[in-house]
Amino acid sequence: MTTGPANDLLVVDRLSVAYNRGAPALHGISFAIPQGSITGLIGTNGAGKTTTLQAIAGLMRGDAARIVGGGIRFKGRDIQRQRPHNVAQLGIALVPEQRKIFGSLTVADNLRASGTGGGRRLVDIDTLYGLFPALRLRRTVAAGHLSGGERQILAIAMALLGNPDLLMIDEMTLGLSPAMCVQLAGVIRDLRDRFGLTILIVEQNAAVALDLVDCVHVIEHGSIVRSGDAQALKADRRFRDVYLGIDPTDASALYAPGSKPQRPLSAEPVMLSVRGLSIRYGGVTAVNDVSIEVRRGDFLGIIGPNGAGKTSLLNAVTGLVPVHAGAVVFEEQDITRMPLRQRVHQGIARTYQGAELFLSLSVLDNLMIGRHHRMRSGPLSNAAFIAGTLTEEISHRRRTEEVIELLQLESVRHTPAGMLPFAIQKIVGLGRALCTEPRLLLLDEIASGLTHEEKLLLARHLVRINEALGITIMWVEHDVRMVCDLATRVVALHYGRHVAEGPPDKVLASAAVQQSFFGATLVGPTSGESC
Amino acid sequence: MIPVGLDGYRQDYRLLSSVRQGVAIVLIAAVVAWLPGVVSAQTLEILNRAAIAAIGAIGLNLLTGTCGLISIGHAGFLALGGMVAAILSQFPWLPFPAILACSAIAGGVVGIGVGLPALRLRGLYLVLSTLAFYYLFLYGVRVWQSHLSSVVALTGLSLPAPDLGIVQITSGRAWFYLLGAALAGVSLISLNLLRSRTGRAWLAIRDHELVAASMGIHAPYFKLVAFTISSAIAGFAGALLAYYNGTFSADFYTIELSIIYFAMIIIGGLGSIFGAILGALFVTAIPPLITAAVTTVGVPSAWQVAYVIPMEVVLYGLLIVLVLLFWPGGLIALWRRAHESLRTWPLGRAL
Repeated sequence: MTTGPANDLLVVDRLSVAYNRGAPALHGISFAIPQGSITGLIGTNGAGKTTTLQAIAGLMRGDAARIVGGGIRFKGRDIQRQRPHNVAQLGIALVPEQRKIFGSLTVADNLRASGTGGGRRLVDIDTLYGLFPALRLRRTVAAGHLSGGERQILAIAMALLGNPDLLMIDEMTLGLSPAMCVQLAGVIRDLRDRFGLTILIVEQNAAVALDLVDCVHVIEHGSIVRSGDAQALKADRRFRDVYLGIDPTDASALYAPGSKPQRPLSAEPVMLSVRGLSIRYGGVTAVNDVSIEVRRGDFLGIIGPNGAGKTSLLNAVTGLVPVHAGAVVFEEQDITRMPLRQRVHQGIARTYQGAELFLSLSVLDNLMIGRHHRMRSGPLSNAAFIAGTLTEEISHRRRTEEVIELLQLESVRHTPAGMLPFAIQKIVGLGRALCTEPRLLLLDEIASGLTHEEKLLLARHLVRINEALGITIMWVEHDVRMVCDLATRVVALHYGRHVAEGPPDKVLASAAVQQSFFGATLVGPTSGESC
Repeated sequence: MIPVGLDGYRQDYRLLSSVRQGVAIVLIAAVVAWLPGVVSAQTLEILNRAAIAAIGAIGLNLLTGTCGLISIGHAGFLALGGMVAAILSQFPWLPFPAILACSAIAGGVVGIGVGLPALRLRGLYLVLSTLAFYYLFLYGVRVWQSHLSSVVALTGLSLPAPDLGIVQITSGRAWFYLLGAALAGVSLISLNLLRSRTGRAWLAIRDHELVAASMGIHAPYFKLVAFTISSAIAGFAGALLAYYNGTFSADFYTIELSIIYFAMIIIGGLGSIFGAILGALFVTAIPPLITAAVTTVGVPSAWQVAYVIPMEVVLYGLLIVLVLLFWPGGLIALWRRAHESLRTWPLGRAL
C-alpha cells in the first residue's frame, strides 16, 4: 500500500507500536483515508484506537511506547518520524481523549490562543460560534468552569482553528448529551461538505459512528478485524452483538434481564437530602435551587444536557465545591460545610468524569488508597513493618482483591493507572470508590466511552452493587436508555434547574425533558440510544 | 508455598520473594564485605562518602520524590545533625549510638517546624520557605561558632572517632562496615514506609491532593510526617558526616550541598530508594574522577583551584538538565530497562 491512490490523504501502512510495559500494542495495521471522507475507528477499550491516533500525531516517540514497524504517509510524505509540532504544521489536528484546554482563560481567549497566525483559515471564530452556539453563550466564562461536554466542544473548536487538513477526534461523543451528539454529528458532516475537511474519529458509540462515517475500521487487540462501509457492518452479526446490541428499537429491559424490581422505596428512610441547593462559579450559576431526596437503596439516575449542573450537584455532595445556598443533609446530619476528607468516613464515595486516578500508581495501589480511611497503622509501625502493619495490609489487601474480582480487573492489577485506556480508568475509579465501602455511591458518567458489550458488563456490576451490596447509587449519565433500564428513579436537570423527577419512563416522556435533552424535535425514548 | 486463599497475600509482602533473590542478596553482601580489602584507600573514601550521601539522599527522596514537596533546606538539616553530634560528643560518657539518635530526633523536631509552612505553601513558595530556614539556621550556627573560641571559629569543633564499645571506628574499613549497616537500616525503614499506608498516602498526595483528601487522607498530617522523617534521616546523616569528617564547621554546609543532594535524587531517579543510592554514588564519584582526569592531563594546580573545582556545581546543574532531557526516570530507569532486557533476552527485542 506504499503507493496508494493519489486521493488518499493519509495512508497507514503495516503500523506496529510497542509499549515498554505490557499495555496494548498495534500489530501491523493498515488503512487509507481518502481526501474529504469521514473515517471511523471502532473497537473495545484497550484495542489500540487511541494508540493509532497518537502514532499518527507523532506522539509515539517517548519512553513508554514507540513505533516499531510500518509507516504513515500524509499527502504522500512519510511522517512516522516527525515530531508532534511538525505533524500539526503539516495539517493534522488531534483532539485528545482528555480534552486539553486552558482552564484559567475564558472560552473566547482559548479560541484566540488557538490556531495559526495568518494565512488561509478553514473557519474563523465567528463561524465557530455559529456552529457551536453553546460556546457563544459561555464565551466570557473561564474554560475551567465549563461542564465536561462543553469542554469537548471547545477542544474540537480549538483544533479547527489550527487549520487542519485532517481532523482526528478521539472519543468524539464522550460525555455529550443526545441533542449535543446529533448537533455535533451535523457539524462534522458540515465541515466535510462545506470545507472539504477530512475527518478521522474514534467513536465508542457505534450507532452514531455508523450514521456519520463513510468507512469504518474495527480494531481489536491491536489489529484491524473488519473494514467496510456502514451498511456492510450493520449487517455483520458479530459486530451488531458487540457494538450495537440488539435491535435499537427494542428497548425493553436490556441491561437487567427479567423485570426490574420495583421495590417500594417510599418506606425506606431518606439517606441524602439536597435542599434548595445553589452553586455559582464566577458568573455562572451551575445549580439553581435544586432539591432532591435519595432514599436508602435507591438507584437514582440524573440526566440533563451538557452544562445542566449534574457534576456540580455531585461535587456539592462530595464537598469539592463551596455551596452558595441551601443544604446537603446526609443521614440526618448537615454536611454542607463538612470538610472533603471527613465525608468518606460518613460513607460517601464517588467516581469522576475524568477518572482522576493516581496515575503513576498501580491499579492495586489506587484501590488500596481507597482502604486508607479504614486502616489504622501509623508511620512508626509502618516504618518498622511490625506484625500489626503486616496483618492490616493483608486483611485490607483481601478486601481490595474482592473488588478486583467483582470488576474483573485481575489482568491490570499491577499496571500503572496512567497506562490504561480512559474507560478502564473509570472502572478502576469505581473500584477505588467501592474499596471505601460506601453507603452512598456517586457515579459521574461511568459508562461513557464503553462499547455496548462493556456497558452490559458494567450494568451487571451496577445492579449487583445496588442490590447485592445494598449500596445506594446516584448516577449521572448521558446514555438515557441505560439509565432508564437500571435506575429506579430519574431526575432531569436543565440549566441548573430541577425540571422533572419520577420513574424513568414518565420523566423521559415529559415535555420538559424532550425539549431540553433531545432538542426541539420530538424523539422517542428508544432513540435516546442513538447517543 | 502456602495456597493463596489461606495465606492471604502474605507472600506479596515478603522482602525476598524467591530463593534466587535470597541468593543474590547474600552474594551482593559478600561482595560488599570483601570490597574494602581490595580497593584503594581513595576508592574506599569515595564509597564511604557515597554511603553517607545515600542516607541523606534517601531522606530527601522521601520528601521530594515520594510526597512531592520540594525542599532546598536539606543542608540545614545535615548541619543540624552535625552540630548536635559535635556538641554531644564532648561528653565522653554518652554512647555513640545515643548521639546519633539525638541528632535524628533533633532533625525530626526541627523538621516539624520547617514543615508547618508546607501545609499552606506549594511549589516555589515552599522552596523559598525552606531556603529561608536554611539561611536563618546557618546564620545562627555561624554566630554560635564564632562565640566559642577563636580557634573553633576558624577550624570548627572537632569530634573524636566513634566508639562502639568493642571497637573504635578509625580505619576506612571500619567506617565502611558501619556506614553500610546504617545505609541498610535507613533503606529498610524507607522501604517499609513506602510499601504501607503511609507511603501510599504520600504518593496519593503527590499525584492528586484533592482526590487524596476525598479518600480520607489527612494531607497536612502526612506532609508533616514526611518532613519529620526526612529531616530526621538528614539529621542522622549529618551526624555521621560530622564524625566522618572529624570536625564540624558551618562553612562546610553550603547551599550548594542542598543542590548536590537534589542532583543525587534527580540523577538517581525520583521516588526510588535504590535510585537515591545510585545517584549518591554517581554524584560523589564525579569530583574525584574529574580531579584524577585533570591530573592525568596535567593541568597546573593553580588552574585547578581557580577553574576546575568551581565548575563542579555547574556540572551538577548540567547533569540534572541532561538527565531530565534524556533519561527522565534517572539511573534507576536505566537500570530497570537493562534488567528487563536481560530478563527477556533474547526475545525482548522481538516483543
